[in-house]
Amino acid sequence: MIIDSNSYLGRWGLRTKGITKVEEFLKIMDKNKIDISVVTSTVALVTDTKEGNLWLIKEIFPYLNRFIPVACINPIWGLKETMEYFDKYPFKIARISPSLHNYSLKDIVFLNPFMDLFKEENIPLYITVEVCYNFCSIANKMGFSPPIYPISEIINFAEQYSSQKIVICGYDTQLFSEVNNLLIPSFKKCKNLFIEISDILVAGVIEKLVKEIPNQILLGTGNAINEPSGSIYKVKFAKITDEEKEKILFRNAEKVFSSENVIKK
Amino acid sequence: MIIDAHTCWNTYEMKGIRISEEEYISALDQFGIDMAMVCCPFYLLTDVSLGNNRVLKLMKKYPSRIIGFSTLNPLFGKESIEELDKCIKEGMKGIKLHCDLSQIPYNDPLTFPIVEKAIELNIPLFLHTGEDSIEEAKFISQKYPEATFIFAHIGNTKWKQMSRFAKEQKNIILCLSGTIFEQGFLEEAVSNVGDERVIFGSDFVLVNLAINLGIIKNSKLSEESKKKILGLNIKRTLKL
Repeated sequence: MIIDSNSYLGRWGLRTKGITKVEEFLKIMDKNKIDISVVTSTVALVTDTKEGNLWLIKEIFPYLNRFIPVACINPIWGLKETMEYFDKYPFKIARISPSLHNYSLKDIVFLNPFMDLFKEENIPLYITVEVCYNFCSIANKMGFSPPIYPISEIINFAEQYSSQKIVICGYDTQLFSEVNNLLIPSFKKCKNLFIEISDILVAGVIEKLVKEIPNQILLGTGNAINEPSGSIYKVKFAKITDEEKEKILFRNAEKVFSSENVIKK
Repeated sequence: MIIDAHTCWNTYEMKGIRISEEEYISALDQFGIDMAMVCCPFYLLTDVSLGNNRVLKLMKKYPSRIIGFSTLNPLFGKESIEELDKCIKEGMKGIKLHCDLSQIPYNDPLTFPIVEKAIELNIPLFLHTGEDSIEEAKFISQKYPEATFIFAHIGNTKWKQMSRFAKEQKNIILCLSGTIFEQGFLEEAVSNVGDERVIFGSDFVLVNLAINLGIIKNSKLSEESKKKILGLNIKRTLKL
């Protein structure tokens, strides 16, 4: 069993044509033995939240047993629009991207009503740090977006909303010191924090995380912007036990999503 | 007649700008703008076809007001040419390229087939030209002297350099859109290239329509020159 906790449907103009047809996407999932994909619309993520979200739902609707759809939320459009994604449509996860939408997680007052909604509806929250290695950095150079969102602010945020399940998306680090001194202690303290590994590139980081926080790591591939086999092999060839591999490949995700009634068996 | 030669009608999530069709047209009305060029460059980050379809929808709803330009991503090669064919068949009048959003420089060979297709179709290419892209914009305008290039933003803070270059490079039209706003820049641009190769563009919905309109209307240029810049030049270029 494999649950991919971070994938994308739609085109990605900076690197690849991406995939817009869900049937094509399913073929890639099948080839890589991915049973379920948590999927975000690329258009919703960076171009137009509403247009992308609604398009995504329409596309994957016939295959909801294979997908966990993510609604991208830009708080500036208000709570009502966000509520609609979960009331009218079968979205299961909310995703916020502070750097892409120009706000800070320190703006608690601004975000409080959204957090209340997610808590009330048991909606797991994804927070974008970066997208497929370099998008936020490129957007920043263009003057369109602040740089990669600081992990320390997400950790502070998770501490304040300790009953909210939060998945950090697109995190990479070149610094073992950051993993040792910030990430691991924070994750040990905040059991509501999870991390998906699609952007983690440096050798040895996964092993380090598994040793310290084995229940908070999720497989993410970045499919279909990234080739998914890369991330799957990061787990399969990691120097960890088979039991630990299973946790990353699906057991941790089952806990994050099943308990919130996200995965329907 | 006033024609705004540069507007972008996509959502700007990071700036909280989302304008409906009606609001867009209402803004044109507010400033007495008869027609506007529309493109959706932000879809270069994802799917330009969706953006072009959005423009086509607006064109069909307001055919006497909207001049569509097809945004193309050179990365997608042959498919970009097919996208252009679709857009031109539906009535679009030109091509929009944005090297910062697509991350494909204008001097990259991926861009050449698009320029060659524009020459074949006899339509202009509208190029975003910020500070970092003026050299590549100069290159492509020299490589294809038979193509018509509209340089939006005129290199922004490097507008003096760009407008001096355009003086000799006769296939360049300077579009005022963007954030130059320096005193005297319009008059200097006109003194470099003449009043037939400068056009009004606002960069609405990102930038307030009033700004460049006000700069032109209150400039020291003759009324005849203002008329050309505000509409007649782009009307002639697009054969409207």
